[in-house]
Amino acid sequence: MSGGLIIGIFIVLMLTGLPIAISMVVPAGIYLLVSQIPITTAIQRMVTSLNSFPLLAVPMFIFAANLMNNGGITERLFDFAKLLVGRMKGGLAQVNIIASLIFAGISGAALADVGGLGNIEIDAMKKQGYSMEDSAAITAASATIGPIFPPSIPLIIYGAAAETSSMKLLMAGVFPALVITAVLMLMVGFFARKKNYPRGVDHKFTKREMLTIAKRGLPSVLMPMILMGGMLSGWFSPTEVAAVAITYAIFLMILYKSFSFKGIIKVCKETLISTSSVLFIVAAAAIFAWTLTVEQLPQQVSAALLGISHSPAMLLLLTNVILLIAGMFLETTAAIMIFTPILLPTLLAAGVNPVHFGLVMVFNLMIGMLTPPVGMSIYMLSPIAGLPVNKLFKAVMPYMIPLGIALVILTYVPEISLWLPNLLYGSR
Amino acid sequence: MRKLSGFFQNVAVVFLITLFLSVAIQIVMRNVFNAGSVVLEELARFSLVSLVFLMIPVLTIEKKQIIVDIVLLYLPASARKVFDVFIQIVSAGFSVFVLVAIAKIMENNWNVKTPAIHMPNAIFYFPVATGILFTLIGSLYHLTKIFTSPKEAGK
Repeated sequence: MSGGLIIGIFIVLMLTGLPIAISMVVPAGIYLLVSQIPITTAIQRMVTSLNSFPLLAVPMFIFAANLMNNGGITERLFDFAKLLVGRMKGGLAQVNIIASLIFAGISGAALADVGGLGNIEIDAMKKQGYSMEDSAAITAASATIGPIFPPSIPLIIYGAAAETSSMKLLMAGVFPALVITAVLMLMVGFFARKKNYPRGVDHKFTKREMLTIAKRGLPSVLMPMILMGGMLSGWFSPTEVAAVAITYAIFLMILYKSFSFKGIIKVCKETLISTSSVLFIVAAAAIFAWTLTVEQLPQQVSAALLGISHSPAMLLLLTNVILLIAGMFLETTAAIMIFTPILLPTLLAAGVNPVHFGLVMVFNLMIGMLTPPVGMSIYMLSPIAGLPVNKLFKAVMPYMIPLGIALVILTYVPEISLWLPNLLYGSR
Repeated sequence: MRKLSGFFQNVAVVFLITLFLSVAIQIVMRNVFNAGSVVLEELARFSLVSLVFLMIPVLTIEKKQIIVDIVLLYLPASARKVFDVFIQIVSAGFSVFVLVAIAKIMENNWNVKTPAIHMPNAIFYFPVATGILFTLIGSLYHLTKIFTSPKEAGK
């Protein structure tokens, strides 16, 4: 049974609507039975993959983001972002992007951004006369920042799959997230002139207004700073910082008088659904990827890619194409768990830094969340915006230009990703 | 089935809170008392494994697993029913496969202990086996529903 056949069975099963995780375990199980490898390998691999300290961060970051969304903290972040860029032409569209950047410093997941900020952003933009399509498109595009700026759930999962330092990966996301923010803001600035978007705030803020908004939003805005500071100072590991995020979110809920035990239990249950659906895929992918490794698929892919070129630039271009296509069809976690062991050895052989590749991989997959047929962000936004998914896919298309530009910059200027982690932790 | 799903969610909530508290206490212990604890770390990891596997039956019962439905969306209801039967049978097969694998591990290694808490495999794997067993029950429940309650088919 070859690696290609294992992948083929997986794709067929997945297309029947079988849960992605089970679609992975079934071909791997058949492989074990056919190859007469003890089937205990399957459950041992699945359990061992979850029995991991870095992965503890996943439920905790989801928990923290859900607390923020349920505790009214997200609204304050949005108002604070208004203070910063609301006066610009197309101000609310710019606020949308800045709020996503600040929220990215807390949540680490694109869907948390869409689900949490999406409602507030789209509602506010609609009130100012933006079309529903434009509001939803900007919300979806800006949500790609979430998993790039630290903390980041996909980067933590990549770190576990690639056996690369989570801390380096998270720090590598800081400047790329700023680059993505900048290109998106430029695009919105262009549209603001072309489509005559209104200013977000039609009057100059008075000192009193500024103070009130800052006072209201400051405790929430402090959260990303506390998390970053904690990681940079070495006080907390990325996993521990997730626990700090939860503690601080609960503190803010108490401060804002939105805390209740009933509410916390509700948030816990929401967290468990998201966490277990993602981590079940991680567990399943552990045995799936193992069978591909035993069948030497990574070596075959490596030989094929190196047969085309040995140039890191060309190999990165090829992997970008592969990942963009993968991102169109696969859920992010599944794609990371499958493609990391297949593609990383080739890129390492060509001298590409695994931290840099992690960033490029995650960004490719985030773009995939905006494309048909499996654009998870779009599917999540559809009920929020009250628009059919095909209209949303069309509306988000113009934003593929800045996101594509950002992808090229991040792919071919590795220093943007690597400068900060190399400065903090050395290049080795 | 709703009650069963609720029960598993409540147990998983306990594991989620244990996970968070283990890491939070670990931070205080290390940074304030300069005394990190391997027991807390292992407890947190055990909680993660347990909560994920205990939530799989919930995902199955409530049909909240991540799926790709692009093909299903274009199928007529009768074809969707056939696919649904196939999905539930394969899901049940998956559960049986994993349960057999766990049983084989337990045959010889049920008493092998974890390094920090010294928890025997039999306890460590208990939430895993329970989760998968009830996933099987959830799949069989949906399978019977397809035939006994036609409105459920293809949902």
